[in-house]
Amino acid sequence: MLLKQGIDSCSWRKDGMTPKRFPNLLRRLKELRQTFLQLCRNDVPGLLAARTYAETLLASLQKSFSDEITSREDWTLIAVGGFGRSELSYASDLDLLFLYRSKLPRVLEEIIHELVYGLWDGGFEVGHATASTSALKKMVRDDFTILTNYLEPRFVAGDKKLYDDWRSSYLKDFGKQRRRKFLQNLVYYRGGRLLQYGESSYLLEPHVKEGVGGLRDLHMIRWAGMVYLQDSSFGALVKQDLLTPAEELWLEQAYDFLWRVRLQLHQLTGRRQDHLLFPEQEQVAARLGFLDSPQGSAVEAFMRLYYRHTSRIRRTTQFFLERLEERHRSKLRIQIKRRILPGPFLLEGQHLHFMEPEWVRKDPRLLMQFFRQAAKSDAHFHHQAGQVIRDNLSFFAQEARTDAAVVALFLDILLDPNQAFRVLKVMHETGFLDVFLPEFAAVRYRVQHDVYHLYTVDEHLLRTVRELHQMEHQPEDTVLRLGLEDIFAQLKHRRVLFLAALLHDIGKGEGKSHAARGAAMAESVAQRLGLSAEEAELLCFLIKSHLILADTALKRDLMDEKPILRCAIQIADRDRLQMLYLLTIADSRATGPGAWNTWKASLLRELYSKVDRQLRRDEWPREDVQRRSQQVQKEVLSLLAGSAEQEKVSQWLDTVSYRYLLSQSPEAIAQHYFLEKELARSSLAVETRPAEGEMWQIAIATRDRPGLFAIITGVLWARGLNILAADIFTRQSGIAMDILRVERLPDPLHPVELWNKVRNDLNQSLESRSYLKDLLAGKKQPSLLQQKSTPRKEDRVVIDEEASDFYTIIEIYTWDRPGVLHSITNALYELDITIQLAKISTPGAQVTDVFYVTDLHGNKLIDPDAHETVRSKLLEALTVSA
Amino acid sequence: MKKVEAIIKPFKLDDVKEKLSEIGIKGMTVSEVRGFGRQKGHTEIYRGAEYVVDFLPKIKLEVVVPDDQVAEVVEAIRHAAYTGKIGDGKVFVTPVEECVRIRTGEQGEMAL
Repeated sequence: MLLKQGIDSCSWRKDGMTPKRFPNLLRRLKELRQTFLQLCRNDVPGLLAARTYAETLLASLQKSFSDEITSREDWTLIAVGGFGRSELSYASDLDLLFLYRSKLPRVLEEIIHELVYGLWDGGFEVGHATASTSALKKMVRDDFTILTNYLEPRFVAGDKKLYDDWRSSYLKDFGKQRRRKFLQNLVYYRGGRLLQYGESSYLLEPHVKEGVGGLRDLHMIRWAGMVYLQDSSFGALVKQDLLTPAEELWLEQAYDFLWRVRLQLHQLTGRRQDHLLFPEQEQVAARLGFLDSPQGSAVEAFMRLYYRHTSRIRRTTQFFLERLEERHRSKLRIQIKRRILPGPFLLEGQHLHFMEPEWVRKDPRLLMQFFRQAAKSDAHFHHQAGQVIRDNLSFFAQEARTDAAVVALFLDILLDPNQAFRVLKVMHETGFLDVFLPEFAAVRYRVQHDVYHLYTVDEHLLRTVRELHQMEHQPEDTVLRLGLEDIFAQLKHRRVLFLAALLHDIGKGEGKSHAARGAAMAESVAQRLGLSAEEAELLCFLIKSHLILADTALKRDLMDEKPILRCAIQIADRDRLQMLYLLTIADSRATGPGAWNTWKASLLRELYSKVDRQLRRDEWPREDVQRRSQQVQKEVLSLLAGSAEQEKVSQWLDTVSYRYLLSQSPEAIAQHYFLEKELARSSLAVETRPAEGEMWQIAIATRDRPGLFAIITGVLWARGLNILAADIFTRQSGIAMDILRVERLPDPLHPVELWNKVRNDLNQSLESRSYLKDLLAGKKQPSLLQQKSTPRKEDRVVIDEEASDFYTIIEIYTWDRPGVLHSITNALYELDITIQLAKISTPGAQVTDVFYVTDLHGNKLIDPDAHETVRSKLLEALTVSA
Repeated sequence: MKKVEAIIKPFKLDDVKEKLSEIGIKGMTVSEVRGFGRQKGHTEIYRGAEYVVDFLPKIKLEVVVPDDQVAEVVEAIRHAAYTGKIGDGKVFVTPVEECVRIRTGEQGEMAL
């Protein structure tokens, strides 16, 4: 906080940096900071270190004021903010308050100059304010953040009596009305923080201080303690039953942990950076002594612990504030409607509580009944209910878990469209879900360290359930209709689908193939829940196969029959396909905004309808390729009815490939014909049109030449376009028709300008290779604004000869960086490999590029030696471009 | 050291200032300027006659930062000043050779 008041009358000082009044102070403070900085090179006990540092700074400051100065009776210097709270990092602001009675004394003016300027020049950040007691009173009334900043002050120098008077009147000022107001402000202020720092970007890279469950929450509890009890320690709040001893312990542990993290973070970045970004996460994890293990990397283990602490803080703060609010209500004797519900439970206004908490021990099934009741009456959970639940978890044993009535209640909750997510979340937070489904405990707070998965695994599972409910009950957006309504209407095993949504990732965290492991774990769950043999089998199938559709849609040519057949064989019947389809969509939507887009949706829909057609085959006569392509030809010709070109088009249609006819719409085919005709006059023809969402489709026709696709990817990259997919067709006449789909344009307001530039670049690049080189040279210069580094996994190249009859499939997994696609396509060109089809997806920073290729003669690669060459050349190209 | 100079819409100044102080930027210089870019000003009809209003009011914000903070600052400005409409503005980054704090004579990044 920077409040510079009363020092604008700055006098000119020629005498350099050392203040006259404080000859040794600055040197001493700098030494202390340097020592502390050195200490923080290793992990230090967080809170203790921060307190010790603050205390020694304070003591030095106090000592440096000579008696001559302090004997003055009309002003005082006070440490406030983090300094007053006695917790500082070496990069923290030193918050100081210079307080005087009525008129600013001359001597204080001089002291401020010397001290504050001295501290500035010593590299300390000072947040200081100078005010008279009456002015301060007004500032505090007007600004909540100033009010909180002065709640935990420490006396430094000057008139002790002035300090004591100010202090006691500051606290006395909080009468009933102001306390209420204070609490309202606190809740409002916290709400604002949650809104800002609960944003998705802050979930993966949290803010240690202001973030959800960050240090600020702990400060808030302390402030409240100060206002209500004149004591900011958690212990005092426990005595007043505003915190439980267990909560106090959690808070203390979390407090210490966050400070350990914060000190390391500041030490690493060299400044007051409280945003825990990816690159620092890894370094902090190493500094705090986390190690890689088969369960996951060090940084994942570290972040898992981080989320555990912050979610405890968040929850405790929430309950704490509710308790305070309740105190106010009971003091005001506001009548709350009370109702007794079967259980027996007590509904106090909006909050549900146990009527007889002792009964739970005897009949732990009450716990599940309690959750069901909360869902039924749309009630909040009473702040003490959490404790009752937690205290009784150990009594909820196997007998209760397998109790048919309990299971039925659980399924009621799971299938409740409005309540499922909310109630499951509380079940999870109180630990009840882990007791009811012990399999769930393993994924609690489990982190997937990439920019793709926005949520921890447990959160993702709960969100998948929520997405499924939303898909069922909310109308689809109009961009792309997936036909979900009909599928939900036909659903036969609704409860199995929702169970699968809740459990599909429980195998995560033990290395690869989590789907199979999860399916194995689900067997015992199914048994406990008393599912029928058919349902159990279905549940395991869904969990085992939950990646099939997404993988096939994104990485395989959907025009090819083989992957469709494979899916059909694995899935085997239409009910299963429908459930898998719903699960896949919900799973993607619950992963994060990067994982679900119109492109993926349209691919999934296409795959779904094709596999579905395959599975219906016995009801439908099989359409053979020839008949379907004839049908397409007919439609194209009918579009051109009456045109003089019809005859020529008919001849042209006979020369193009089946794959072309079957993958393009009749309208597009007709357009392509005219595009190719343009080539009589020019060497290049380009047509662009908007596609679903904000995607665009580009058709490029030109005379085929080796390396053409690499040129195209180069130009599009240079113009900031991101390619999602490419279909490459070569005509008998030697003309290449490349059809590409690109993501949102960099400037959607000026598409025409952009496409003119692209057309011009393509023309020039086709004429001379050096044009493209120059164009890319500009792009390749490292920019100051380079993306910050993100978690990386090792590059991988997988070559598959099985998946397609006509093409070798090369899958490349790498991390996203400028021009990576151009590097890959260029390497393939140099290897004399022809790309026929490409699917490019960039989920977050992870790139998955899939190419259907042949050699120059149109044959598959087959030869293992060739595979080895391709693999090593590609990996080399990726390393060079890094 | 680099100077980051941003031309933004006037009503976005508070957002940008807040975002910058959030990431620890301690000082900045702001001026009211007039100009136009691709939007080419806008045309208004005044008492039946058409006047071309070429120059639109904008805010120019300047801040000098150490090299390693440039990316963060530019990203923060973009994030805070973005509306997605024409006339959102531009950000320029230029090298700064030297910097001196007048009061103390400190030089280089120390003086920022």
